[in-house]
Amino acid sequence: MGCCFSWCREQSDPEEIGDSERRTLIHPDNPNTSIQTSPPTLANIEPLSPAQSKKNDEQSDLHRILQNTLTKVIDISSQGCNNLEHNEYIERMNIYKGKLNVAPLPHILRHEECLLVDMPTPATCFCDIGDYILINNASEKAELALKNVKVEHTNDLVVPFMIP
Amino acid sequence: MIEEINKYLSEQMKKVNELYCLIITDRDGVPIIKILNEKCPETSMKQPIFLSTFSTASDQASKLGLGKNESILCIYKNYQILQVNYFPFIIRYIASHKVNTGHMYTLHDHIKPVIEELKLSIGQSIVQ
Repeated sequence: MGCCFSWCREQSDPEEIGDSERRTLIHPDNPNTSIQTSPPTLANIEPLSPAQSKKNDEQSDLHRILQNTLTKVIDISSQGCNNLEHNEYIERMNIYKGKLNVAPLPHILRHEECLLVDMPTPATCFCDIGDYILINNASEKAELALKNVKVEHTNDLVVPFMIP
Repeated sequence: MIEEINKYLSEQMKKVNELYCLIITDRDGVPIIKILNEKCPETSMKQPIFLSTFSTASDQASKLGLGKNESILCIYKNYQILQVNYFPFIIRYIASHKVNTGHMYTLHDHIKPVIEELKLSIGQSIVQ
């Protein structure tokens, strides 16, 4: 192996934080976690013994410590253990293939070849009628000028060099 | 649609000399679009593990305190591999070690609109 280089970016865009691969499914600060706490009612309030509440506190502390450790520690021991089963792999490939076949064609591939390829939507650029007439006149004049180009024969086409 | 996308990406790939392979996968390395030529190393395709390690590596690299990792470039004796995180996809470029790396990044910027539309159309069904 030669060298390895990675390019990192500042996490300045708050919108992209949500898409991060580091996002955990259960996050203590995330209000949309799957663990929903129901409002306390008489039915669901159970008196906790001091021992139970102490145990719960310990559990939550341990969980918090574990989460903090996971986010800080660089762990490469999980590298290389691909848990994906072969049949699941094939199944997913087929699903993606099916989805791709029915998905609409990307817009960039839809437009036809034209001279204004550098413009994203050339059809929306309306031309002023004055410009249209001007360009037409100019091109007609250019065409006429090209047709009238003639070579006038004045001198000999073959000129002998003055070789002694 | 897949034929049109493959054709477009194949044409774009030709703009970078000695770029052998372009693969778009999900985070577990399952290929969604795969375009390769005859020079592409077979081992890169036969070992799905190679395709699946990037998400873990990128995840761990993000913990180095240098910000969110976006791409990883590995240069080997004969090849260089550029892997770019484009949630929910991962895009990989396998090329000769001689290739100008900047050209690959430029190509990536160039094909981004197509990938963005792919994201809109099939991104919901990608297993994350």
